[in-house]
Amino acid sequence: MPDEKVAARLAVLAAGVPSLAVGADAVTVDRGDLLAVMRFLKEDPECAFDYLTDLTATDYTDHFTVVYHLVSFVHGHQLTVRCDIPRDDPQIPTVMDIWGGADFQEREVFDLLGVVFTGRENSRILLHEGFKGHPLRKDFEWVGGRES
Amino acid sequence: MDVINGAGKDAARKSKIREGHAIERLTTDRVVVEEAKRLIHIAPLEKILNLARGYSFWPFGFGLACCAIEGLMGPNDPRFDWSRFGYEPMRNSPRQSDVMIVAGTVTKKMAPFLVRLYEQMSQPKWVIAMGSCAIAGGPFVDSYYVVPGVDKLVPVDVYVPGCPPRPDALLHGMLLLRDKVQGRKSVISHA
Amino acid sequence: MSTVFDCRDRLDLDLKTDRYVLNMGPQHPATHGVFRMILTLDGEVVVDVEPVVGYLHRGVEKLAEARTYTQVIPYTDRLDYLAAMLNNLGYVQAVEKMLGVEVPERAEYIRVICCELNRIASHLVSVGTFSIEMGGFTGFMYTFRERERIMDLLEMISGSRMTVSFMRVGGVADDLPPEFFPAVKSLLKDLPAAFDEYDGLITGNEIFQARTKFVGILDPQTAINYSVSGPVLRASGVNWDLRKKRPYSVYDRFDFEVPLGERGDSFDRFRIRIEEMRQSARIIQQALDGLPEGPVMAKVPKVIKPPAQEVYHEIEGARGIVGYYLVSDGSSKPYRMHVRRPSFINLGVVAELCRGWKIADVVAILGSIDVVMGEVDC
Repeated sequence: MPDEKVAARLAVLAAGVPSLAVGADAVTVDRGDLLAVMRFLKEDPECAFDYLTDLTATDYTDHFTVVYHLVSFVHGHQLTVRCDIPRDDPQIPTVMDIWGGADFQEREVFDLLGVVFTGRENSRILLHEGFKGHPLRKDFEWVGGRES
Repeated sequence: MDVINGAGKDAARKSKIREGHAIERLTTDRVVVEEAKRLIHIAPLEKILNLARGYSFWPFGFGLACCAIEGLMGPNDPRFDWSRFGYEPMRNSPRQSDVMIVAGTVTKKMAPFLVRLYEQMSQPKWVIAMGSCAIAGGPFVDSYYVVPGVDKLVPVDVYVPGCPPRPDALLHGMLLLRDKVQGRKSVISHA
Repeated sequence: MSTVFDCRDRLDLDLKTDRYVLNMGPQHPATHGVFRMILTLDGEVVVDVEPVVGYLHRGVEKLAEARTYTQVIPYTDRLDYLAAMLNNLGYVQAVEKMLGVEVPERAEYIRVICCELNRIASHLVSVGTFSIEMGGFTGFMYTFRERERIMDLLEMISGSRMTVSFMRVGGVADDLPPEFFPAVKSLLKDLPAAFDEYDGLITGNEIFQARTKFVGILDPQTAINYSVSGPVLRASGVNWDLRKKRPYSVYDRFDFEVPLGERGDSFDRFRIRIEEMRQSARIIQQALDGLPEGPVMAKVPKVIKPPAQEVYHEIEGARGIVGYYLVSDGSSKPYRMHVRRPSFINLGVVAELCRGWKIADVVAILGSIDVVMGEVDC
């Protein structure tokens, strides 16, 4: 799915970034190289991914996967970037300085999943401040509202 | 003219006054009596005030979710038009309104605000729970963040089922509340 | 910030202003639902806005993990409840992408007709409530008059006025009833005159223009950086409409324009919604003219169990780009569903836009961004 030109540029980048892997439908990268890759994807004129359309994460019980969906308004192509992070140390650098639209979405991921974004202030956005736990985690326990 | 049976004319007249209208103490002209019965009510003050209150509820604009469109904006629009019932002034300050129409899902974050606004409303006040989320949690009842029904927080007078109920269903609910407030007999409806 | 009228310049008075914090919402007539803004004001000029959301967070993403794929469809209605058909469409198309299902032609045309009708209904609410917030109650009455007719049509099609749950994985729930066609034809005949009426009543109103022109200007670079989408983005001059850029369903068969704004102020955001309604009416007319015969539902298994994969699908919703991210683990229930909600992301730019304006302008700016809290809080 990544565009040919993008794949070519990514192959060039992958030479310097060992954890970068260009798959059939997405690009995977380690959290250590995430910022460098994201900055490249935004600033490189062939890629020019100026629009971050979606930032979300999933709990796979033994690890988290943070998924970024990028779009280029200049060229019209899209890209998915995935980054796995360990469940007992759910930290990942923030991309808020690259795309301002990541602000609310990162706060939502922190709120509902507990993924901490380093380099920015993490605060809850949807749930109230005193809420304990992160609901979208697979081991979140709560008492249902239904009267039965 | 009535035929008087039994005891003397005076006793019969007195018994007729107890059951009849006070105007009958002044005249026996049938036309006058009928008109007076229709136009002049003699009742405790509260009953008369209730009559006035029932004909002019001022709803509190407490729209939370989808039901707010059908329940607060819908009855306002030209087709359903609740101003012909006297319910048009939808005040946004709790101090100035009578009926709190809880239209939408009550979440745990919103619950303290709902209770605080209810307490800020001055007596007499009523609550209409509109839509299945306000009645019992609705389709979101299993959620970790939804209060299963607004009657867990405030006392509710009328429940209007639906998801969302049509604006006419809410108008029906308002009319039921009017019947309840004015003390009429038909209070429970299964429309 | 350059056009802020500071009375200290004009009146040669030595006015001292104080900085204080004002709370707006969550219960407020002009915040489009349960939205709270904590305004830091210097006198009457806004210095900072802290938007607080989550008062309608119902946990839809968690609930979806406990429902089958078809049972999630009613939840998608209740996200952006003013444009339920569009939300439905995004979701079922994402599931169809996972299954590899091809939707019959007639179903695609019906989907387009329903979606564009709902887009017009949603924009009518937006225009009407914007008019109320600027003080003109009459504008609301006129737009809702047309909206009631569209609600009748939606009721004819799906049985419900607002939360329709009409789309299914593989097609639509039911065919269009025969009484639908004369009704929609008469509506389409009356719509152009209605739009001209709104232009005269609201758009041309001097007070409305004074309150919205040059207020809250959003430049294209900021808009793209903040992932803004929909009419808000197009008002800033960025030509990005998914119906044209990445056509889904059968939108590539229809001839319509994408209105763009020039200044990116609140007036532009309002005006292009009226233009979009005109274009939607064109699309509906073309779809009705070209409606083919055939089934309305593809052959889809009774229990939907997509193979393990993940998919992300976006469509152009009424308020912006609606995206559905689904992860399937091979069972009949989604492992993870995430909804990319346009109103949630558009709210990220509110703080930037409101700085330097007065409280009354905050209402104009928020009204022009047009958020729906069901969608913001999910």
